[in-house]
Amino acid sequence: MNQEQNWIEAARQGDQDAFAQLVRLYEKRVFALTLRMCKNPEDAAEAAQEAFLAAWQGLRFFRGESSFSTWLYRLASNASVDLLRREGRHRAAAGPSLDDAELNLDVPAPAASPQEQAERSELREQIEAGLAALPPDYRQVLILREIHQRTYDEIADILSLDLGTVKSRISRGRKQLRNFLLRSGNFSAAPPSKEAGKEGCK
Amino acid sequence: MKYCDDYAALLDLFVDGELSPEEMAGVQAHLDGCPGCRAYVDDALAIRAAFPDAEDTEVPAGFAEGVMSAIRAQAPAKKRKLSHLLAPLAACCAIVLLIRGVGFGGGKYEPAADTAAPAAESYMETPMEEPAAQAEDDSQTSFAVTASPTDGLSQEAAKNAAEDAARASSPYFAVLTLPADALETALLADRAPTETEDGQQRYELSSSDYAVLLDQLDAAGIQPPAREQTGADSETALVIVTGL
Repeated sequence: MNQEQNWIEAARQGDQDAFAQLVRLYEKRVFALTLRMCKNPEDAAEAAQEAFLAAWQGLRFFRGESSFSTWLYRLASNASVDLLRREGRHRAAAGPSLDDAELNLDVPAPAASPQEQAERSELREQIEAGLAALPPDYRQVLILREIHQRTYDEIADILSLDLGTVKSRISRGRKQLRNFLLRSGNFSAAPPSKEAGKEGCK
Repeated sequence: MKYCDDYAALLDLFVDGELSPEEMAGVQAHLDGCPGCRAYVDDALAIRAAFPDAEDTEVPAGFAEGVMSAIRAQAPAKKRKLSHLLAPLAACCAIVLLIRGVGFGGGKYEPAADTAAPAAESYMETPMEEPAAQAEDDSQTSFAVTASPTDGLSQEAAKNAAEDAARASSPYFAVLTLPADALETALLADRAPTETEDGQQRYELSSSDYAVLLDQLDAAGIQPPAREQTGADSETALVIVTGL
């Protein structure tokens, strides 16, 4: 058993110190999720705390059928979504609103530029903006896929979705994010051409 | 390019490693000849590379402590530790602490009775899960420490009351009399009661906690009492009576 497993077992028996270790171990990852779902730090903190409280209360019933992280991400997702619902926020407030009609928009050729560190961080900012602009359903799956490296099966498990829904949300979310970045002009991985802005070969 | 419709559907699966090795090879081969698909895959991978790292996430200072405070503020879990619970008790009355072994069949949880104990806090009984299994596992062996307030009783009377109570509930025990401030110096100050019986406070101590308790008695220069043995089994009960 590794250290994390020991803490989980101890926390299941009611050991608060062990649970505190789990909180410290996972707080960044949970925040990585809630911060982007809730988009303001106060809500993110509230959702993150609710997730950990739910984990503490539910730990005695956690039988290890899924991994602890999967379970915790589920709690974090639920807490985020609950908070969003409670606050009546259903769509992204920041950035342009994107929908499927824009998927095949012609994009002006982005300026080619070398991958320098400054550009990398600027791209990171753009990704944050693009994520915030996505509908929560797409944002959620991309966060789990790209930040937490969950497989499709794990994402389906965490979000209680079927696999087909996960696949389509990732595909659409990724396309929307890509288009957002291409239109912002700071992003280019392909040589400038008309084809570059289009989805796949179509 | 009639194959592209098929491949377009596979690109995300490819990027996310959800294809079999054969399918991966098939898509890879297609990418070599298709700039449109190639661009999408390249973009997806560039996005991935630039995606924020979970480990870079800024967590507000004190977050973990805040979570643990919220947990402590809730109804106690099995071995919840509270500080300063006994201080008010110690200040106002004599306390009889019975320590007896549980998990050997001699002790068991009883429903929390309505109590007149001076402790202001109320708490939920936490039923022991699988008590039989626990009895077999040494590391789970716990020792119940029961504190009874004995308002208005003299030390001698308190001790007698404790002895009677202890004899009634346990095969053997010992009685130790301590000054009240022995408790305030953390003999049991960081432990929390798990239930009450007839106005008594009961503390669950794991075997290592019990060893610590004995060490504390020792460190305080208090001679651990000799045990009276009335039976052959391995239960231990220790009665600690504190004066005002």
